[in-house]
Amino acid sequence: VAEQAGFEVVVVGGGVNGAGVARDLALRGVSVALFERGDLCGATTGKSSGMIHGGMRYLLYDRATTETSCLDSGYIQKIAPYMIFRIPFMLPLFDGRAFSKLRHEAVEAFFAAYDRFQPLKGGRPHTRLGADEARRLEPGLSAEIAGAVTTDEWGIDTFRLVVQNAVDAAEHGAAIHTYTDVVGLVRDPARGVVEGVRVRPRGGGAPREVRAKVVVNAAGPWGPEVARLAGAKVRLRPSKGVHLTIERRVSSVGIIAEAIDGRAIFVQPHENTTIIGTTDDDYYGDPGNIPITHDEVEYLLQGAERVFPAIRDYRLLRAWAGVRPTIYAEGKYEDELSRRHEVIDHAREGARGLVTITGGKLAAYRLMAEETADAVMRLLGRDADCRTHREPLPGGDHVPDAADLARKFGIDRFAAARLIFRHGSRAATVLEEGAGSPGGGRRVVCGSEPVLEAEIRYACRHEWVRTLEDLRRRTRFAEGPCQGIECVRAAAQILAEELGWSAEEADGQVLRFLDERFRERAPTLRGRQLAQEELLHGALLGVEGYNRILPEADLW
Amino acid sequence: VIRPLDELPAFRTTASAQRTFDVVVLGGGLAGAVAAKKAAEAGRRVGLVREGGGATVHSSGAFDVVSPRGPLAAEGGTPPLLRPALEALLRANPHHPYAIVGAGDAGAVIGLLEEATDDLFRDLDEEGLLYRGGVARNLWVATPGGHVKESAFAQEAIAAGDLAALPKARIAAVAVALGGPSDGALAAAKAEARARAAGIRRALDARGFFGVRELIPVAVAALPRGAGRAADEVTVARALDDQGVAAAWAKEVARALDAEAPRATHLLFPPLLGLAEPGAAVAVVKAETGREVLETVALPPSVPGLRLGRALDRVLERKGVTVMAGRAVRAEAVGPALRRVSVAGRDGAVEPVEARAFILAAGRYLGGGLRERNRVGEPLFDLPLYYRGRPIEEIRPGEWLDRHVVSPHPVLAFGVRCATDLRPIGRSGGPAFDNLFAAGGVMAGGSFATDGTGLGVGLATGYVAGLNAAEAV
Repeated sequence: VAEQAGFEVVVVGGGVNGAGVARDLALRGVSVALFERGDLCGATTGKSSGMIHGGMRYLLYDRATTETSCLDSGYIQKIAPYMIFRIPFMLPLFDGRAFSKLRHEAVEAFFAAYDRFQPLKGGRPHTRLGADEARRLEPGLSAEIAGAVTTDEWGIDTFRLVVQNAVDAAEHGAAIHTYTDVVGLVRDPARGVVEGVRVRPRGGGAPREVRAKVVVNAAGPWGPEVARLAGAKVRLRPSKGVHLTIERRVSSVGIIAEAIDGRAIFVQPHENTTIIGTTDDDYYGDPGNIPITHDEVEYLLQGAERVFPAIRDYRLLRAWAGVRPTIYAEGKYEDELSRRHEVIDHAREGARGLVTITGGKLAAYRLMAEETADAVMRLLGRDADCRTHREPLPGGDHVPDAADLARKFGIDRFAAARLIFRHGSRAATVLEEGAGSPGGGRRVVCGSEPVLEAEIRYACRHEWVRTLEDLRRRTRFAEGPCQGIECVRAAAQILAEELGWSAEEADGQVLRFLDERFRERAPTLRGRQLAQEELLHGALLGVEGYNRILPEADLW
Repeated sequence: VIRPLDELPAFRTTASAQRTFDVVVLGGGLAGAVAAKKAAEAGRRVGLVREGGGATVHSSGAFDVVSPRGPLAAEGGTPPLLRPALEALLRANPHHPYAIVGAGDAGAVIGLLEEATDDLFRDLDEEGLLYRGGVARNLWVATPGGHVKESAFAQEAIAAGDLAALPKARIAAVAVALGGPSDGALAAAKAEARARAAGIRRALDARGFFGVRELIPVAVAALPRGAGRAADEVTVARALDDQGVAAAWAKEVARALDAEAPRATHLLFPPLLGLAEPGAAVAVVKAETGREVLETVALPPSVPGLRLGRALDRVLERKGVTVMAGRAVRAEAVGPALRRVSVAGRDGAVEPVEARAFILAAGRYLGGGLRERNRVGEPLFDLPLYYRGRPIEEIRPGEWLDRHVVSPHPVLAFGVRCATDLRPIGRSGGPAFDNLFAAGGVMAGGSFATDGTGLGVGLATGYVAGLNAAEAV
């Protein structure tokens, strides 16, 4: 069945690039439909380090990426001031090597070079600290350090970034479809033209055709697969990046460390948690199911403990991995590959109307979307200027005061601050809409974050929540130490009401969610983490009786 | 929120300089406490070394004997019989600790559990903690999440909440507005009560039990005086240990009932009715409200688990057991016999403790009985570990965990293998030492959370190990 009217543009992929392109085009008055195979921000973007950084690492060999990253980082601060946070970083310096003084000076010169880009993104220039000063600022640092150099970066909630791009696109007329596979492209081989996509909703339903003048392939690591549907080629050197999450903030600053192979890794305070990242290794497996080995977890912990010795004393909540759609290059090591992006028009391959956006960094997503949309506009023969660097994202027009909001709606101040962090000036809208639910929606459903009932209902109604995992991505519900054991049923009850689940469906969703949390914990379950798992296992089975909720399961 | 272990209340340490004993128990959970009690009752001088209350204080406090497989209920909506379930477990898993203490015979295990529960519960009763239940059928106790959990014995008010034994009851599922008073806290309590009532109703329907006439959600806004703006059940339970406070609070509960559930015959609370003397708080609430008073079990930090830990502590004191806070870090043997262990106290000081027999009851990873550092090991004696009869070296790390969170995970069922007298097997294949016994979670073979044998195993093996160690000296 063909969708009669069709769209001017179909975007394939609901990561930051897909959502960014959809928003850009919608703001230019173009009719857009976006199709995402899973949830928004469910793959590469959601598995990124969550940094809107300036690409300091690329300064040595890829200055252009550093400059564009810094420039666009500045724009993101203007359009979404509420969802970013400053992360001061330290690079600890060690003595005892030959020419260490020379080396320290080289390091400092490097940071000084980076300082030139800092004004673009509102960053502060570097400073040089003695060992005592560094350890006073961050007592967790190793006693072995000889000093440190500081720099300045920004962190962001990537899930909110993608969702707010999608929300804005939808509010400007775009149609957003999650959990929908693109199973084919509509082509006219004689003319060498791509004229739309064939899509099939997950979980059943017949495939249907959606006509479009231009199809944008923003499928990230699936990009080559989508291009192949049109007989075209996208050449990537996909690379896997593993991160770990610690249940709390263990340091007050980000710390740059050196892994056993000399690569730079980091320990980064991120929202209420700490993130350790990342690995960078060629990966040619299924991007939808990325295995994580214990060796990868060890690689990160060993590197981190060299500068932060107590790192193993903390509880790891998750190990998670994404695949970077890095542009192909021969003969280089993985982390020497350029983070440049590329907009590819596949007309010469007999697929006019298909445009691929790939490569790049999170920090430059807006610029990538702009360049992609420019290419699309040329193909459409239309003319309208990009507005995404000027128009705030939803809620980005101003950042309300948390204490005022808390007073006005009778909620906890911390809950108000976190709500503002995710919704900006729309936090009040979330609470006003929630006023219709019991207790005015002010009930705290997840105490770790905290997440209010009003926000959960709002996410169901306006942010394409279909599962409890989607809700976690929208609100950070169940990101705390209990990993949902205490709050998942309460949240499932609300989703059941909003999405029309039966009680049995809700049970199934709860178990799937708990399994997914476990799947992400599993690679970390060594050492002290095993004691925590023994406790959780006992709580689930010994207290909550989950062994009898699955009567058919073989539990002996 | 599940708290770090070190935030739990500190447990008592005996002020005694004695460091030479007949029997020394390593581990302070249920298995260790029962073993120490039995050895002390046999007239031995007993010392117990522990870091805390082990997994026991985090548990539901209910004694799970076995969780039946298959249908949720027998004909007519009654809990399934335990004996066939135990027989099936022993057939399916001949390496289960029950199989060792009962020589593979379900009747012998049931006999042992009857004897051991009678014996322990008499002592706990004297400390104001009453247990009810039996080994014929499980109780159906309500969980905080609105499920039904099966257990053989539970603390008095929890066992009174055996849903299978409440025909015609109109149960008010009461939730307290923890963290309040505020609109949000009251809304949370209302939602919690609603979810619990609906969940229990569904769980009973799934079992074909239609006896409970009504489940009515009730939210109580008031917190007991002295609980501040308590956000946790432990603080509320502690406040309700004061009878006057409990009586005043019960009046508030009665008011909420008049408004929301005047016809309720039973009140089902989370387990917050007293920490030190739950019976007294229950009696006060019963008197003030004129209803039967029941409790659910709880997630960690678990009030019933803490009640059990405290009562066990007082039993040990009464039996003259010397309790030492610390961890055994080194063991010394002369020939085939263990002579002493070095105990590192919390202050870092290390001192030797000598005995003629030792009992290892340090649990698994939570208790410190097992540790993973590149390999899973038993840190004190380096005893070989097994999983269902196989040396764990044969089990690749890729097989340590199952795919599903609620499945049995081999790595959580690793442990020491024991001879029938509960002496752990050493590297030579015979008993590791002439005078070392083991009990509880450190034993291989059971996946206690999934097979529903948690405190049942701790009790049965602790009982036998204590008697055997006493006899050996």
